Amino acid sequence: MTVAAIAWIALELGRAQATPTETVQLSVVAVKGVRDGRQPQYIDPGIPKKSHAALKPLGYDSYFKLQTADIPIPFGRETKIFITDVYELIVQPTGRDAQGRVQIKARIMMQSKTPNAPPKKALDTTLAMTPGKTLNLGGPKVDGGDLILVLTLN
Amino acid sequence: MTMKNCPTEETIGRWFDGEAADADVDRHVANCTRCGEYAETLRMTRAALAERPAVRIENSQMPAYLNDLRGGIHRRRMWGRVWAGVSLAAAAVVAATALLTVVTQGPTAVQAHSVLEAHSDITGATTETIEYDNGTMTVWLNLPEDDMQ
Repeated sequence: MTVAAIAWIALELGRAQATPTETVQLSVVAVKGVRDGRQPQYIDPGIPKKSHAALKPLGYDSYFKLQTADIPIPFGRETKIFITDVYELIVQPTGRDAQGRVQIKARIMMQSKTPNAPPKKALDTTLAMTPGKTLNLGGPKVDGGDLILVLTLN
Repeated sequence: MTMKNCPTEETIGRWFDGEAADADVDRHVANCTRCGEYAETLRMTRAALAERPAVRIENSQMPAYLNDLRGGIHRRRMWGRVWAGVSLAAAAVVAATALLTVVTQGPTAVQAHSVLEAHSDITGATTETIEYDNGTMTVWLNLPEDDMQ
């Protein structure tokens, strides 16, 4: 078998779509970042240490834990993850790219203050995530601070 | 005249060179197409050789001639070794490249996430993707001053 044939086969296998029944483990750490002048920087002990490196560069003085979740999420289906009474994270892995990264749709839904108004997409993203590495989604307001979601695929 | 009655090529050759006079061969060649063509071939060959004068090397020239001969052989051997070495090196490079390709084939480890798309339905809001020095990637929502919250 030629080297070119071996390379082609490896590439095609890498491009294969995940079956709908396949799942990937998603870890979500929801945090409130606050600029309160606290020195030194404070990180809630309830926030997993593996998330600290992702939070420190954001520049907040204090980080408080809101919610954590570590669940399997199936490919091809939406999974809703409760964050707060106002926010909900909805994720859907759609496949893998040739480099082994998981392509995933992730959006933060926000309940409207207007009565009976439908929720809005505060942040709507499509990502290619490398397993084992963290990624932050952030910026919506929460109770005197900013919402930060630290996402990790395993 | 049938071929089985034809004399051998050796006989014709000896006849042609005058080494063996034979009236029967003489008559046969004159009347046989095949043997006549062979005799003509012998004539053309002899004529071509006769046009090239033989190189004569005097005794006094022999040492220089032999040195030149040896030098030519040495140069051919040296260049032969050079080309053999070049070919071997090229083959080694090709083999190493092929081996490296086979060993490293398959999904390669990717360095970072990619943000393929990011937007917000909040009026006036913008999004940005930031990669910090420690490699942390962040998709950030920038709300307008008078955000709905």
